[in-house]
Amino acid sequence: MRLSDETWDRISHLFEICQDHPQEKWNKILSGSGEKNSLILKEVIELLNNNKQARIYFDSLRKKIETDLSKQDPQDFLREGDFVGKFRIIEAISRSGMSGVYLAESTDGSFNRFVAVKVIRLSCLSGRRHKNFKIEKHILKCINHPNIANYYGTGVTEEGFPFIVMEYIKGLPVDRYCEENQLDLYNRLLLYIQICDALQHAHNNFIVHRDIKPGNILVTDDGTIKLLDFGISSITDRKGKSSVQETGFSGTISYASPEQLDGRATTPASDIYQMGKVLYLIITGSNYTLTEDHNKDDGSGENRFLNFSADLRKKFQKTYPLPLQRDLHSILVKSMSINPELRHLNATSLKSDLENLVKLFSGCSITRPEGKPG
Amino acid sequence: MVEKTKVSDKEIKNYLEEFSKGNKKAFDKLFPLVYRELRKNAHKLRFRFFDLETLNTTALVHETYLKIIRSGSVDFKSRTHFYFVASRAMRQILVNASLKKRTLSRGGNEKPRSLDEIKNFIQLSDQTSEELLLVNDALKKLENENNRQARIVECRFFGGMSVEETAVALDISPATVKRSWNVARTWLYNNLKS
Repeated sequence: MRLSDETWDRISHLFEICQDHPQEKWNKILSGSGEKNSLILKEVIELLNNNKQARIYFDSLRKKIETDLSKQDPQDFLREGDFVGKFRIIEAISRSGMSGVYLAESTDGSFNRFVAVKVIRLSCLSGRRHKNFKIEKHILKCINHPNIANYYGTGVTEEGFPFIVMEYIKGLPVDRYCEENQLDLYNRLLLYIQICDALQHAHNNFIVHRDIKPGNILVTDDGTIKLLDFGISSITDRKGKSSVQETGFSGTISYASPEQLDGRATTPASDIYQMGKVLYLIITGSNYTLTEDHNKDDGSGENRFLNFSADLRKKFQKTYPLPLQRDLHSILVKSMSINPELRHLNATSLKSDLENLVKLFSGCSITRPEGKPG
Repeated sequence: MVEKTKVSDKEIKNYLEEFSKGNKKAFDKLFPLVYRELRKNAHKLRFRFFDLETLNTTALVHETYLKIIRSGSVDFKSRTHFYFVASRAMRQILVNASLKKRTLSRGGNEKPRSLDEIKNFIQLSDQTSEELLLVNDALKKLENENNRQARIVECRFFGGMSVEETAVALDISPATVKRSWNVARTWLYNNLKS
């Protein structure tokens, strides 16, 4: 049966008049409406009976569609065999809320067969992240250091996701590397000094890392440090202040500096703080938690020192000379000062403090192990 | 860098204007273009909305519109006509995804044939896709009974269009849209149940 627009309008009209009234009034309203067509009247009653259920049904179906459309299956992002530019995805290396990193191979026979491709998730449509991505393009021109993972280029996937092609580093996060190779304190410090060099290089180019953590510091089989993921860093201006107005903190919360947590502008000093956190972790195996009394000289510092000393002893099964422990502890306290101005002036100053310390207890001068480019 | 295979904005705008002026043939030109863009966007937007908001058909249609019609030289009427085409395309996309789901869950090991298929594959749950197919069958019946009613369902349900937009796109009064949508929805529901 085909119903004309007019018939539908009549049905709809009667339906509308009745729908706000209780069921027992419908018959009265309909008989008073002048509508004579019994088929129409029957149809109206049938429709009215299920009006509410129908609305609930379609609302819930809409909800289901919405849920399915929004559902995020990380596996679904990029798969083996997918192409990102001229690179073929081999496997996923890591995923985060902001990006996915994939091992990929170059398909045009260029010199770097294997690369890491970082595909940025939310970026292209969000102004701030898009801006960061643009800056990142700039960064890759500045960075060229044996201890920093190389950037090869950037692009945008067919779907509009920005991606960064970088050196594929086969290595372990610095803390795991230290554990698996059972490095002693001396060698841990030597390794750490390499990170200072890499960071200073970045700072010299006005690039703040902003997300320094063990996961972004890999050590290759030959013991070379590779600092990765300048993904959220930005160019700093000559005053050392961030040129990008921060609208939110996008790094890793457990390594965030106090000013990052406060949402204030991130400076190179913030990286120094994160470096302190990393140092604390790799020499004691535990995370240092900043407390209110951190920079107070009221005796609470002595307790912190005793804890540190105990951690150190536990970690290396030996007791280091007290002056050395004291020096090391004060380097840590300084680098993690609540006030950014009280921290080491730069990564080089942190490095030289540590080098002096290393000389002190090794009794010989040290040289930096040469990093080998990827 | 992958080269973008996309139709020129101008082309789409021209078709849209034609369609808006009443040239029904322009619809056939527009539909596949809009369909493709919507599908592409569905994939893309899932990542944008990751962890933040939910993605619904309204947002999808709207974002696709913004993507295609970048410069604002399209009048309100043409815009509603875009939404109209997109609503029909959205219905088709969801139905196709449901059919795909049914094939995959029943046929076992059929693999997506092309990369495009993997990337643009909208993943619907078993339940959603079964329900969508039933609704689509009922909507086909409604189409046979009264075409206008079916179009209203497409605009309101599949395209997430507002009462006003639907009214402009279909050239009827907002009151008619509102009434008809209520009735059509219940009609479909009754049909699903029988």
